[in-house]
Amino acid sequence: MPDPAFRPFMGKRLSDGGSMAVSKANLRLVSSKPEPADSGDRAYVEELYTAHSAALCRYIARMLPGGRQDVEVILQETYVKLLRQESLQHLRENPRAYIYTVATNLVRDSLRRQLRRRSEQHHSYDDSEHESRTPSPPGAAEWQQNLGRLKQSLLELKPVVRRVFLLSRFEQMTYPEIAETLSISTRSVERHMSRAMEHLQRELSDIL
Amino acid sequence: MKRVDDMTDESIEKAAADWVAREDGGALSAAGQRALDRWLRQDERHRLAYANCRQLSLMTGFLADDGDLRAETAAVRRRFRRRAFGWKALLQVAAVMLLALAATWLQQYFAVDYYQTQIGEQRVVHLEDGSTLMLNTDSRVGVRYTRGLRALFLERGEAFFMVAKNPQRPFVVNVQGSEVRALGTAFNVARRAGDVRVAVTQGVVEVRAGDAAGNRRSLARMLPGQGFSYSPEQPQDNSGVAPVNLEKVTAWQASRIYFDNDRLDDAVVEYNRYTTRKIVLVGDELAGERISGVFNIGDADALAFALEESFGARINKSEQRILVLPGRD
Repeated sequence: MPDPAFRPFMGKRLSDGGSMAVSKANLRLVSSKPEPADSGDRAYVEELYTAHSAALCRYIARMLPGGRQDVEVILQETYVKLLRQESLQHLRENPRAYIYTVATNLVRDSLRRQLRRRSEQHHSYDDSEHESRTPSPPGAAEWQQNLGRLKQSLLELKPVVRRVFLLSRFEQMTYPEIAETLSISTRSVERHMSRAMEHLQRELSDIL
Repeated sequence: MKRVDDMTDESIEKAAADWVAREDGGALSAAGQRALDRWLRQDERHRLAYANCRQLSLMTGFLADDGDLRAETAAVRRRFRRRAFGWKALLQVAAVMLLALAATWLQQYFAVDYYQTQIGEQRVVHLEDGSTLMLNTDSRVGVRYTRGLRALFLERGEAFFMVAKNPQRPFVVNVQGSEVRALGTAFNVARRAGDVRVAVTQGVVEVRAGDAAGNRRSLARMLPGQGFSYSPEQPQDNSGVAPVNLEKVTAWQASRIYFDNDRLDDAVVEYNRYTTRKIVLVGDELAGERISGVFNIGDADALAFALEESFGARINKSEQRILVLPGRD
């Protein structure tokens, strides 16, 4: 039974992957949930998806250099996830960040599965430790919790490191602009950015 | 046994952080891009660490309207602006003009426009984005619009907001550290004796406040006809989402006060918000009586007459106040 939310593949990309191979790929669709999107919402999601899909495709491909097929699967799943949001409010507030967050979550999920398959060849398999965590979408309760944790971790950063990171993330200031504002060198800005990312990865490893 | 997720060791995390920092700086050359791609192709763990960094970076963007974090970057930018002013004298005329322009822009960017009313006054304000603001008596609202956010600050009193829909630019009313958020909506926010009362006439409105741990979380989501009261200092201490009488809540917009089986002492407090010539209940005898009806704001005579008629109260009027005394039985 084909899922009504399932979007047909774009023909151009289909040809090199082979349609059977693609539809066989591990799409994990949940078909029991009723379709929440009315036609207006659906048109909105469609429009956003179309506007971002080319750049999104390049973005995903960088992290999944293995094959086009994997990239297609992530694109599909992203689209389906967008359609299945109960409320489009979070999507509407910040469409680009929302779409990229959903896609990045899916990429990380896929990478974790690949890593797991590889480690299974070397170790005995323990089901409980390998349970897949479904990344929560923006708006979910767990997402809010994770944002809280992220905020705490940001507050633990050295003030100058935090300022650099936030000016870059919130104000979209370039490194030279930040360097001038804070009277430090551009190279230091880059170093602080890296330090912030390093700290966040370490502190939040359990939710990543 | 080691968890799969822990396999990204520290050196990989550091390398991924470096790559993301370089890439976001916009200074990565074509050769640099290729080197990044090579590094990513080398190992799945490289790719996962890189994806994790991207995720953290994206998540941080969702904290952009967090008050605590915002305050810090705003302060930095203000400092930048002051420094720009200090240089002014040293620079040549053209540069001065350029800086003045930049300063004006920054000032506009950070400036909060205030609208306020005196006791008994009401005011309608049309905002630049098409939203409308109605201020009730003795109220003060700050408005700061930036590219990505419409931030308002209810500093005193009560206001009704009719929000022009713009999904790219959330409309957030800040009340003592809590937030009332809306998208294409009309709603009323009132500060009364330490409490904040929100009532929705159109659309969906969300209230957010910080919890004990300082994390901002959603307290309530309301649909039209629903309301919510809470104490911004103790957000857990709230009424829960409950139906409200919209006619009553919005009566002030037609210069009316609507009493619906209210205690007389509460009604007097409500009435007095609109006038400097206060009504004073003398003694406790009448305080618990119930009053219903619609009164024009500022029409003390009508209210006094109603009290005389209904409760046999004696009215003693002066320039400064209206005394309401229990009837002689």
